[in-house]
This record gives sequence, C-alpha cells and structure tokens, in this order.
Amino acid sequence: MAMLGYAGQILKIDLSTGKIEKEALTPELARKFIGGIALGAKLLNDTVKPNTDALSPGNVLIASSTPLSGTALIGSNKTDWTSKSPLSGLAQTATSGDFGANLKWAGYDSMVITGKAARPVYITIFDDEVQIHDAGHLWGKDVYETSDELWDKYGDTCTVFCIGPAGEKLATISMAYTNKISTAGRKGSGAVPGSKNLKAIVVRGTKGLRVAHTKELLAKADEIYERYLQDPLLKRWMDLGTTISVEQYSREGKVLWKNWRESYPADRQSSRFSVQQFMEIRDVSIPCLLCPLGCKVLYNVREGEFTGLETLQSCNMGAFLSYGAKFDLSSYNQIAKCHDTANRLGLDTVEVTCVLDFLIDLQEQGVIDEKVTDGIKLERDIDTLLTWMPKIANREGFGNVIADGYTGVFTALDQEVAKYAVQRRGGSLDIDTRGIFGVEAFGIAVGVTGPHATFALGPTMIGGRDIAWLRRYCLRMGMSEGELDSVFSDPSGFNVARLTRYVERWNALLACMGICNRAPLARLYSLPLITELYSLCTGLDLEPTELLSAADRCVVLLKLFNIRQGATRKDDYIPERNFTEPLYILGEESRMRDYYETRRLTREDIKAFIDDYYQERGWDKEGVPTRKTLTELGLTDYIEP
Amino acid sequence: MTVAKTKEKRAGKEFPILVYPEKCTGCRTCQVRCSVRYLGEFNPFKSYIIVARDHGKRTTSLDFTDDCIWCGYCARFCAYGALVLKKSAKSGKGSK
Ligand code: SF4
Ligand code: SF4
Ligand code: SF4
Repeated sequence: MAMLGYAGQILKIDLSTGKIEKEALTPELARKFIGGIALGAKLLNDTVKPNTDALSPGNVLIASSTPLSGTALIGSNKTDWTSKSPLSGLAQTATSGDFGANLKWAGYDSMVITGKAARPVYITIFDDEVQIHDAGHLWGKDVYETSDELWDKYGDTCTVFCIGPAGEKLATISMAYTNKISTAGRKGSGAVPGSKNLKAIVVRGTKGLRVAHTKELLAKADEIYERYLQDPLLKRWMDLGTTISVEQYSREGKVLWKNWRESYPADRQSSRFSVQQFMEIRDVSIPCLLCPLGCKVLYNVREGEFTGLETLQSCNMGAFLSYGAKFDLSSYNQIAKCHDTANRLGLDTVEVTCVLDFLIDLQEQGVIDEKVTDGIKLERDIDTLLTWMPKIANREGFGNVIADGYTGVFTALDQEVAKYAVQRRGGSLDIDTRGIFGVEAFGIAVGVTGPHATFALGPTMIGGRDIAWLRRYCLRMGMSEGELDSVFSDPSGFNVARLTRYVERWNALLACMGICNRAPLARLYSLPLITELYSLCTGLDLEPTELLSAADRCVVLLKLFNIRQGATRKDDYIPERNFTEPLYILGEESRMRDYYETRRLTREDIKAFIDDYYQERGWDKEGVPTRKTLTELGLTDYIEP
Repeated sequence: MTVAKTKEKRAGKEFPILVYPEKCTGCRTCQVRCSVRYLGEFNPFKSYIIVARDHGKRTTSLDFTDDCIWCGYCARFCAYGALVLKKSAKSGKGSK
C-alpha cells in the first residue's frame, strides 16, 4: 500500500538496457531523506560512481517531487532535478517546474534515469505504464517544436520535459526545459539527457494523491492562503514578477556589464526597460502548478521590432540582466527575441551571455582578435547574440569552443586568458562579491553546486540589515540558541561564513519541500509550520530538528559527491580578479568589503571565512565532512574506510 | 455521482460562478480543490472542472462537468479572476 503523502515508489529507467523498474520508497528512506533535493542527493551518491564523466552513461538524471507537492498548498510544487554537471563537474541541482507533481500523481516520488539509449528516444510515463519510444523524428527539433509535437500527440494535460539542439550537441552550457518555460537547472542540464540520447519525457499522472489528514491540511492551506492575500505588494508582484526589482537594482548599481567591470547605467534602464515598457509586452501569467502568484509570463510583442513574437519567460529580471544590460539592447522586444532564440535552442542564458561578454572584453583589451572568433568582431548588441547563439548550440566554428563555456575557451586559447574571467569551476557567478558581501556573496565561494546563490539566498541581499532583523530571520529558519551564539558572537556583528551554513540548511529544507523562493511565498513558511504540514501530509511525525538534519544531510551528501568526483578545498574560492580589481558601481570604485563596509576583505580573510564555514559544518580543514559529522547525521554508510 | 443526484444537489440554485477563460492561467488550483473536496484526493483529473490549454500559453476553455454541483468552492481559490463568485462580484470583491 502506498504511503500517504508520498507516491511510494521510485521509478528507475536504464536506457542502455531498456529496463524499467519500480522500487518502493520505504518509510525509513522517506523519514531520513524527506524527498525532493535530499532524496535526489542520496540517489545521486548511490548511483554515480566516483570520477564519472558527466556525459557518460554512468551519470544520472533525477527528478524528485516533494512531500508537500501535488496537494493544495500554494507555492510548494517545485521539482528537484539532480545530476552531475558536465560544466562544473560538481553536483547540479535545480528546484523548478511542474514535472514532479505530475510524476507524483502518476505514482512516483522520484525518477532515476541512467545509461544511454542506442538511438534517440523519448519516454512516456502515464501512471503505471512507462514506455521508451523512438525519437528519430524529434531529434534536431527545438524545444518549442518538440514540446508542441508531443502535446499534439499526448494532450495538454501532460508535462513535457525536453532538450533542444544545444543539449543534443552536448553543449555544457545547455539547459533542459519543462513545458517550454521552467529549466531543469543550468550548466549543462540539457547535455546530460543529450548524452543519453534522451530527447524528451512526457508525464501525466491521473492516480492523484491522498494525504494522512486531509481536513486539517486543507484548513492549514486556507490559513496560508489568507495570510498570502494580506501581502501589500501582491498586486505589484502579480503584475511584475521578478521585474519588481529591476529599477531598484539598476539604481543601486547591482546590474553589471562589461565583463564584471562596472554597473550598467541606470538611465539606460529607465529609458529602455521601465515597468511601463515591460507591461507593453507582458501578456498572461504562466504560473507553476498551484501557484497564485504567477511570476512567470507570456511575452507578446504587439508592436515594433519582432511584432507577433510570443514566447514564455520564467524570469524577466534574469533576461534583463543577461541580455538587456550586458548586450546593451534597446528594448524588451529585443530581449524577447534573444530569450526566444536561446530557449528554443536550449541554451543556458546566463552562461552564454557571460562567456560572450568575457570574449568581447578579451577583444576590447586586445588579448584576442577577430580571427579567433571566425573573423567576426563581437559587439554588445543583438546581432552578436543572434549570430552566435545558433553557432554555439550547433557547435559551428568557434561556437564549438563557446559551447563548453569558460572551460572550453580556456582550453582552446591560452590558459592565461582565465585571469580575465570571473568564474568558479567553469560556471559564472550569480552575484559579484565586490558589491554587498553577505551570505549570497560568500556562498559563491563554497556553494556545493558551484558559484550560485542556490542555497545561500536570503537575508543579506540588501545591505546594512541590522542585527535584530537578522536574528529574527534566523529564528524563522529554526536556528537554536547555540547556533545563534556561534553566528552573532562575532565582534563585527555576525560571522557571514557561519551564517551561510544555516541559510544553506534552510534553503535546502525549502527545496526538499518544493517551496518556491519568491518572497511572497517563501516568507509564508516557517520551521514549525513546515513540520506540521509534513506530518499532516505524510502522517510521519518528525521533530523540527529532524527535518533540519535531513536538510543538512542533503548538503553533506552533495559535498561528498563532489569530493568523490575529485573536488578539493582548492575548488572553494572567490575569483582572483575580485581581489585585485575594483568594480565601478555607479562610477564609484568598489572593493571587496565586509557586509557592514567597515574594512577591505583580503585573501586571508576569505581563507579564514572558509575555515569558519567548514568548522560550522563539522567538516575538516580540507572541507571533508568528518566521521563525527557523518555519524551524527546517520550517514555512517558514507564514511570512507 | 449519478445524474439524478447531481440534479438534486443543483435544485433551486443558480450557477454561482462568473467564468472568464481568457484570465485563466492553467494553475489547476480549482481542479485540485474540487477533487479533494468531493473525492478526498488531490487529483485534477477527477475534478468537475476542465481546463483546456493551448500548448503552454493560454487557456482555450474552462468547462464544468455534469457532475459539478454548483457549490462555488473552487472559485474561492482562483487567484487570477477567471472564476469569480457571483456574490463576491456583487459585493465588489474578487474583481481583479
Ligand atoms: S512564484 Fe513564480 S516561480 Fe514561484 S511557484 Fe509561482 S510562478 Fe513558479
Ligand atoms: S484556479 Fe483559476 S486560473 Fe487557476 S486553473 Fe482554475 S480557473 Fe484557471
Ligand atoms: S463548483 Fe463545486 S463542484 Fe463545481 S467544479 Fe467548482 S468545486 Fe467542483
């Protein structure tokens, strides 16, 4: 009998043999690894052998639903995708899209795909019926064409996951998509299915889901929704989604261009990318499943350049940062065109634009000339994007080099050019550490999934928060007195490295529950509430501390995975340029400084922070989880002999 | 539910919801709410409201099945103004 709140099964598909197996998700496994990203981290560790090539059949593609997803709770229906990234060589995770809920309604908490099919295939999962089909007719088609064709065949109630040409060509700066809009993570999430000859997965679940305490869960869901409706910024959030921060970010100089050298001029943003201009191309909301906020939108170009273009956008802010600012575009119409092109090809927007920006910088600095880039001078304009994106996705000319991101460029050119790049393990940064140095910036150095704010996102995006505010935030994250002491006994007010450890734990827990990190949704959930909801859904009574331990287990397992794939302390760093060169924010020179901007941060400071972070996590000086830590977390199976 | 039963439940009522398919985003909240209320499970496929979509972009139709008993429960949770309870529309609420 299926467990309540869970579907109760893990679906395993080996594409090399065509073998399809269904394993029970035991209550023990559920209690220990909860679901979502923690279950993904466990399955990743148990499936992928040490030092596996991410583009070999030995890598895995995992999608996991969460214990809260597929119920009536708002903003908690995300899917966790897990694999080894071919770009960074580290664990790759993403919390995104509807796939998981549909998978759960079909009867599976997780899906684990290994091996490599002999020919291009796609998979259909319709409840108990799981089949592998020939995808010869889909291979070569873009993300939109593929999704449309599969929707034509199987109906719109399916969730469609697929890759575009970039994934097929194993570009390590590719992405996979669900329902044309949500990405299954960055950094080569398209190349992993591509390397398995897997073009698409179609899922439809009609079994539904029963929870342990339906009436009580609904009462809670109503209460959460009522609280959500009280948010004074709701109307604005619903209209603008992430565009809500575009103006403020520009005004504060947080929007960067010119290869991380300076902030993008605020007056350009206000004249080209105002809220009003956004509203002109904004059509309906395209929410994730059961989300009342709907921050994602349909772009609809109604007049001017590219009139008639309709395309789905999951993060308008991201599109502005990547295309609008970095490439000095003139309008949202141009952003829509570039976004549509990248989405269809299945390219990683952030990596593509950062690497092209870096190459433009190399040309501007006179380090390389046009001959390197197929005789084409790279410019900050739409033509460069529209010329190069197809070349990259199809690996044509120098596009073949860019398809492997920074690492590809370093290998093809002199390794010396690396000093001009701002990256960690081949991935571009989410945030510049020379701006506000909070947990989000420090997370760049130590993040288990690379230089991303994935787990370290939260309290210190805005500068100058006072200690009382930060303490309240920490209490909501369920930090104990001892943990608070450890973070706040620092003479500077708080220790950013130690705080990072707890923010990561909190975000890992949210990801285990599929809770969206957009502020109006994430702020509705606290540790006691999550604990209660988990118990109402599953009937399993866990203490809040047990849930936090599961979240810690998740980060530790991802770290162990990285170590087994060859990562060491040397891979935890802040790019050298951030120490040696200033960033010009609104024309003012800015160096890396502590959060309250009282002092410069040196390499020694960062080294000390990394030590603090490891210590707070119970890892040794090399960043390896100690025997004691693994024992405390019940991960003795993972202790190296 | 049998046709007779549905009829019995609808007796004396008018359909309580104003429906605006062009505002529907396909979030499926209404479906999940209906299915859990009447079937005790979260299952959009068993709900009494059908949302038809156009390949990820727009909703093409919003229909109620013959089993719908016109209770209006689903409309309370539509955040996008596609389902609006007639009584809250009259009182000026829910008109987004
Ligand atoms: S707020 Fe946006 S990203 Fe979050 S669940 Fe809703 S639509 Fe998805
Ligand atoms: S709740 Fe509203 S917006 Fe969502 S699917 Fe139902 S009718 Fe459409
Ligand atoms: S009105 Fe009532 S019965 Fe009809 S679809 Fe809505 S919730 Fe279901």
